[in-house]
Amino acid sequence: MDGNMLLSEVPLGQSCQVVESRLLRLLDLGFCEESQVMPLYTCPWGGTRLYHVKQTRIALRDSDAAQIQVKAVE
Amino acid sequence: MGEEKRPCIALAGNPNTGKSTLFNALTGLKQHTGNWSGKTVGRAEGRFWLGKKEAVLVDLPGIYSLFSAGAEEACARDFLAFGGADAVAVVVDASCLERHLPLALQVMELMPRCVLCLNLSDEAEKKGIHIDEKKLSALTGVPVVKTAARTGRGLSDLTAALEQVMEQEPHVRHTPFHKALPAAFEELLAEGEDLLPESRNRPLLLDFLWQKEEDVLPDAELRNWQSRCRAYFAGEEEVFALYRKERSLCFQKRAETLASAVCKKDEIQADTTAQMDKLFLRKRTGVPVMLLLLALVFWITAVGANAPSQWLMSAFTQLGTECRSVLVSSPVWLESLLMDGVFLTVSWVVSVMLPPMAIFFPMFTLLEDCGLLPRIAFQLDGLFRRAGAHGKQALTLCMGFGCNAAGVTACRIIDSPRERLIAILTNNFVPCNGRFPTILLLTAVFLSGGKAWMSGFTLFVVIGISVGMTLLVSFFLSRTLLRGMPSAFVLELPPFRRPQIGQVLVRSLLDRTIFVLGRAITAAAPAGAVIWLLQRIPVGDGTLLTQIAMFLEPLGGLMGLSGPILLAFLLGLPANEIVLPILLMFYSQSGMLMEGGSQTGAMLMANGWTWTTAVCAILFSLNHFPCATTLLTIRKETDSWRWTAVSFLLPTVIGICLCAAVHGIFCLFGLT
Repeated sequence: MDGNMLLSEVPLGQSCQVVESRLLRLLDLGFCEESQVMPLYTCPWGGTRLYHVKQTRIALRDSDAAQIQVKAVE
Repeated sequence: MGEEKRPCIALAGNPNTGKSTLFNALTGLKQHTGNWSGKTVGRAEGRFWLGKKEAVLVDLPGIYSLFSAGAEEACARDFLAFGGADAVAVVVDASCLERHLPLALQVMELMPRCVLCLNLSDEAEKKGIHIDEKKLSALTGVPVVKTAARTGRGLSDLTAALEQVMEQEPHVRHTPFHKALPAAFEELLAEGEDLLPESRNRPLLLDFLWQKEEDVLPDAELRNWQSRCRAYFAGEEEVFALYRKERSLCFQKRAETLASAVCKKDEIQADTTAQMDKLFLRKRTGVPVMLLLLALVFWITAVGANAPSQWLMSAFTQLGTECRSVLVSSPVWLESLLMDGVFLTVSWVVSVMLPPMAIFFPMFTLLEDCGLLPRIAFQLDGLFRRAGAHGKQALTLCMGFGCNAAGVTACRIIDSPRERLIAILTNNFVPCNGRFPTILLLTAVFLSGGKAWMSGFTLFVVIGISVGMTLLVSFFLSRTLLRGMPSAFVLELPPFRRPQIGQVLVRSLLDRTIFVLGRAITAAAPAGAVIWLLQRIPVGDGTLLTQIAMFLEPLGGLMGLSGPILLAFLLGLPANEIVLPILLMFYSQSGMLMEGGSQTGAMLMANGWTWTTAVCAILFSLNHFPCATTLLTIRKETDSWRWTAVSFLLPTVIGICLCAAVHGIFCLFGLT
């Protein structure tokens, strides 16, 4: 077990670090290796969450967030 | 001797860094601005003074990376690569330097003459962020200027820096890339370098070229090289994808290093956006607060518009009397055509449209400026996802409330062609400003019982129905005509910004309200004349107008409306604003529009209108063909007459069925 998980699975308010981003598009948005990310809010009907990454807030659907592997940080 | 070519300067940068505000400040033009990512679709051009020389300034859509392939990003990237820009000002948000530097570094490699513009520097200072611009300039090799476009700070420094780089020799910069590449790949790069303009950076251009449409490339040799690139990468896209990923990471890492070297941040600064987001984005409070806010906007519009409408109508009545006295010596038919046809239609359109627009537009612009629209889009995304639509459709929907044609154009922010088409075809389901006054008047007369709060509430319900229809039709389209996989949804939420109330008022009143009103008058004046004429051409027992209305009567009756109401909708094709004036003109026995807005309700009731007629008319107003301008925009955006026809037929058929069903229910319960 390497302790990695998908960004879409990280609980709200839990800080994590990007291990790998499979979509280049997400990498350009700041979800690159070693970036710190924190899920902040879920939209009312679910399926989309707001993340804090590199001084900004980006909304991603869970299907896209599942393309990013992360590990939890203290 | 030919005219000297004007230097061309491009404004490039991430979305929502204030490029359009900077563009407006430098050129004096009025490009649409707002606090959300992606409002600039397509490029805008203006002129400004670069020292003593007049130059062309090009405002490009915001992009996250030169490596990305979205439609708007391709537009900006292609302009930088092949559009003939002599220099570029890369605009970055000074409060998020690390985040915006990767793109800036990429543009610096692509463009030999470059200025780095640290915009929103006032906001950065408020957040306690201090940037050493001299050090940043030394490390990047380009001039760095701090600006605050909203207040005009630093603009002269920016033009001076641009003037300076225009006089210098072009200089190519390279971010070191240490990964070993396959030999054949290296050979291709080397060949490409010989073909490309001397000042350009080869790895970046390679990325653009190998997937680009052939007709974009300037010459045959480049096209030949492109086909060899394609042959090389055929079946080995993952090699290129890996290369692109490594290149992108390279820029990210360098940006991190640079930002940490030049930025200092004071400890503990209150984050207003984080505090406000607790209210606007939390599950329990977010949706209720936003609904309350929207209800408030509609209530203020409903309440505030009544009195000014009456004043305007009285003023026009007085003006009409004056005009008639001037025209007293002219032929009777001419006086009647001008006054009973053109003048009264136009005066009605102005009286009814201007007050709600003058109230609604500034309030909507305030919400847009403070950063609320993307938050609404975030809250609604769950619904749009279930409807098989793109989350950014919520933004284009909001734009549709102003003008459906603008909403259709805004659909360019959606990259997926399938989802963009869904957004285009459904934009008309939300009422534009042209339909608002009609809906407002019908709710006020027939559905509010004379209570202003009830009128606002009914309008709010009507808007809810229109959003519901948008979702329902999107759902239907995504499972029938436009089936496919959902594309990635990424939406950056901007920080909350205090709107500049003075500018918002000027911009929304002068730019939006007067523009839309001007368009409505342009359509209303000839329409008034045409109606006047149709009412005077005798056919059988009546006039041409009454004959057409009689022909439409069976369908109108089935829908809970009438022949004249349907005719008014048909004749209102040039602009939705003129539907009710046409109808009132029809009802007038003498072919004259009644003067005085307070009589409108009485006139409708005298012609058989009840609250059930009003409900069906509102439903058909929400669900019928788009106006001519929107249809032409749809044709332009889809490049297809077929989809334009679908956009015409889809809401119309839905509207007819819906009205017939609702009317049937009313009949069933004996309500008609």
